[in-house]
Amino acid sequence: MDLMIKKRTGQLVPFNKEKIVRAIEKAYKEVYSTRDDKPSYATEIADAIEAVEKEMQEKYEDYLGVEDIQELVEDYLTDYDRTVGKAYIKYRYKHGIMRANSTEFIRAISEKLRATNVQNQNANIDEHSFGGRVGEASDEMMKQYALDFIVSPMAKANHLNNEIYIHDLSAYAVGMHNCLSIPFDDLLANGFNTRQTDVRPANSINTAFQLVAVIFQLQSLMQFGGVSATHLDWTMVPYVRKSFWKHFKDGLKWLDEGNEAHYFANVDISKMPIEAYEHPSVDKQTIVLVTTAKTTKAYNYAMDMTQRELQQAVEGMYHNLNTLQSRSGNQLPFTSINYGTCTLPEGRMVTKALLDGSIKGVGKFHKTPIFPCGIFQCMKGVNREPGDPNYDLFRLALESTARRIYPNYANVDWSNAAGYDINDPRTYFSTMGCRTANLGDINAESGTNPQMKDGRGNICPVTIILPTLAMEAKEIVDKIGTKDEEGNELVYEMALHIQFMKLLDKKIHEAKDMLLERFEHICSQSPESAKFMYENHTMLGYHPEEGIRSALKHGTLVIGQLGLAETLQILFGCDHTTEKGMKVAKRIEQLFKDRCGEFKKEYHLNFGVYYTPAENLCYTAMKKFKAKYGEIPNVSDHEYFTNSMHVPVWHEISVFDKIDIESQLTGYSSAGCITYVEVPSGVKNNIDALETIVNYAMDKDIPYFALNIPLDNCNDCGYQDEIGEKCPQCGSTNISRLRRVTGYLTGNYKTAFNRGKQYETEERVKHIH
Amino acid sequence: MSKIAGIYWDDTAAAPGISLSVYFSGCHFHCPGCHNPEAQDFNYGEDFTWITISDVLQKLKKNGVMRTLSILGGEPLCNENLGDVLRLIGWCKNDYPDLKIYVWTGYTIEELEARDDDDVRAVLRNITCLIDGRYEEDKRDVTLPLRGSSNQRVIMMEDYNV
Repeated sequence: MDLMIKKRTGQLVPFNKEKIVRAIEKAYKEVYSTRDDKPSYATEIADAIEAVEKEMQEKYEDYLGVEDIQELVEDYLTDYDRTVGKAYIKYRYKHGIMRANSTEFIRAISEKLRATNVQNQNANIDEHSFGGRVGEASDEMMKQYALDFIVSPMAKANHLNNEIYIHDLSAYAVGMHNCLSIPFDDLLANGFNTRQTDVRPANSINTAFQLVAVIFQLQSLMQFGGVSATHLDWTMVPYVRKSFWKHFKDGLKWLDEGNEAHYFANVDISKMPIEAYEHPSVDKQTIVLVTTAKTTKAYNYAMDMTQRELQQAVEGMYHNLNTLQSRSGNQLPFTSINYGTCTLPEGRMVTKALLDGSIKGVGKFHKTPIFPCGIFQCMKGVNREPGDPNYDLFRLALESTARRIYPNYANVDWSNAAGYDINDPRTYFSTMGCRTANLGDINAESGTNPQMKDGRGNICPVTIILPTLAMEAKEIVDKIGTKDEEGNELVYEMALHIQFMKLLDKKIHEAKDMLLERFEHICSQSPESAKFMYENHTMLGYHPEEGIRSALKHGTLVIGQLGLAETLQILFGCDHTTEKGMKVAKRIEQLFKDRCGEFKKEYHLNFGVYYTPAENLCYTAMKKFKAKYGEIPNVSDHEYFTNSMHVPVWHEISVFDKIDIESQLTGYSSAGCITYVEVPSGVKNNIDALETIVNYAMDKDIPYFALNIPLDNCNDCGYQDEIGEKCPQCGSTNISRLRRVTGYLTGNYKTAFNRGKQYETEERVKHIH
Repeated sequence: MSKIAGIYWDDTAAAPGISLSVYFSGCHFHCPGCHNPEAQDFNYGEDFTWITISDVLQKLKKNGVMRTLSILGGEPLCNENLGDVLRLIGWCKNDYPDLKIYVWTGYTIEELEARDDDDVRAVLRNITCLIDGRYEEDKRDVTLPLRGSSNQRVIMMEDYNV
């Protein structure tokens, strides 16, 4: 048996006795510099250590680490020759420092601190700013700390070997979780506490929208990922009412139509619809009043004032969410708002105001708001077809998409989202802008629908880098040959496929262990770490006496994937745009799905299949891959890996065919995915075409759909369209080019995207003329 | 035999909704500022054949999406192209009686009627919408739906008695 030892990276290398001998000789020379003999005990010590190593391996099936061996050398040496022992210890210490000095680590920190090598890992962070530099440098430290002291050797090896990526490693050690859908209904109705004060419930639509921005900001500081509102139109209904009745009272008072105090003595206005005469629960006296009121000046005044207040409130929110760099001073919170299903007049007003605000844009040149990511919730019978009550809003949404790229489209009727409660919009399918979604909660408390979205989010993700596994499977087959377990000869392709699936299965299990490991670490944090979150119950189901696990267990633990297309190319020389590739793609996704289902039952935690955004990973994973395997045609001849199970962006394919292909795989995902298509900017003159495309995607059971429409913006005159080199209006070349990065937008992709994503963006082809 | 300057199987830049757009080659008008000057040449592009028609028929409802047939040019309604345009329309209508067809022509509808030609009448009777008139550079207006200059008209044929 070959003796092996474990290097600091966790990698196994053959045990080399000679190295021990040489190290001891060096220390000996240090002490007795005038002698030219060699210490007789060097080989003896090396032999002794070899025996220990042998025992370790045979009896315990474990390996000595480099540090263990050095400890042993120290012990033995001190017995043989104290002075040489001391010299060895000193040497080892000095070496340790040298190693630390020369490592990537210090270099990386100083790079970040001085912003000398800006990579734009996350398009939302300004890495040049003071805040960005502090944040990025400390991230570097936190990452190293997590790898060296927190994660298991298995997890570390997977991460470093480009096999399973640990996302947001910088937030690992401190024990933060990823993202959350905020229960705005409760927070706005009950108010909330902060460290310095408490905030009263909202009493008008204006305040309610301001508080939405404040709450988004506060919650985003409790976590490393995004925050969302799952049904903002419904959420805002009571506050539209409050504002309306307030204005109505004012109208009565000043327009001299009577004494308002008399009419409203016993009515809770937050529950009273604007069209109260249609509402059976309101008492008779009020019904009579409001029916009359509708024809009065006071009513018209109140409607007008409410609409104006709502419009201003929405504009205020858009501006707040694009200006409050509230995350360590260098980052906007990643915010998303879902809306579009509320058919009450007040909810419709809100959706309309949100879309009008999106179309209008922000700032002097009415630029496209980067945040929040708008998500229009498509729902059959509500907004999909002419005659549906909110069809007009769907059309307005399409108009906004044509001009602003947002909103994206969530499919409430998605088959995996079944089981929602039609009477509870908190259970309708909604997503985080990037794509993360919460489906059935295995820990739903009795009385709570498992499809509840509010108060839930992703706890932590890992991503399996599929192309690495495919290459490893290839290496194995090349080494052991193509015989199966019974000794039958297989064709190469089949042997490779079997080997790959075996390896993938092993890695899916390791991914699960990595998630459990991180979940436990997150659960071990004190509720004091995220006071806003736990005090105000923004996370569902928190019972202080049970600890924060009671809340975290409702979130998702997700196994992501990167580069399905390239993986299939390695295995079969074709991707899933071919029938053969698709067959294997389905087998791969089925394995992910089956295993996540089993883990969910076994551990009673919400494991799920995730089609990872991989904004930075698409590039860094490819860089590592190329360094190891070189440039392989159709696999590593680009600067990035293809996103999750997407069709490669450079593949010429029609809108409908792309949807047909990706929709065959979206059903395997239970924790989030997105499908997008590239559409020319001229589509703003053809909303019917957009409607056909969105409805096609919804009918094909795509859960989350987005249209990429190039949006260039002249920074000098404000002209917006797909612009060539020069602005057609003023001739300026100072152009910002807005593109989608993962699900979210960013500013100018030429400056805000990382290198891999820049290449990817430039290689995108249109899927329709 | 006509020539085809190009076909977009999925097009958002022609009729409302998704179009299958066929561009016929050749035009006598030579309007200054023409959008497709290369298609003014009657020899530009590929031959229009039975294969063209069968491709169009196959792809009009690909993926289950009913497209609008958009016919543009060049000039589809000049005498050189008229026969093949009518043939294309005939076959498509035969397979899809409810098919919407949009035709862009440099002739005005009055000029077309004055030709007193059965083939022209057959085209006009079978299409949904005609966008007519020369492109006039000084009347260019890119904000107009479906048209390039303000003299051109969008004529819904159901409102028109041919």
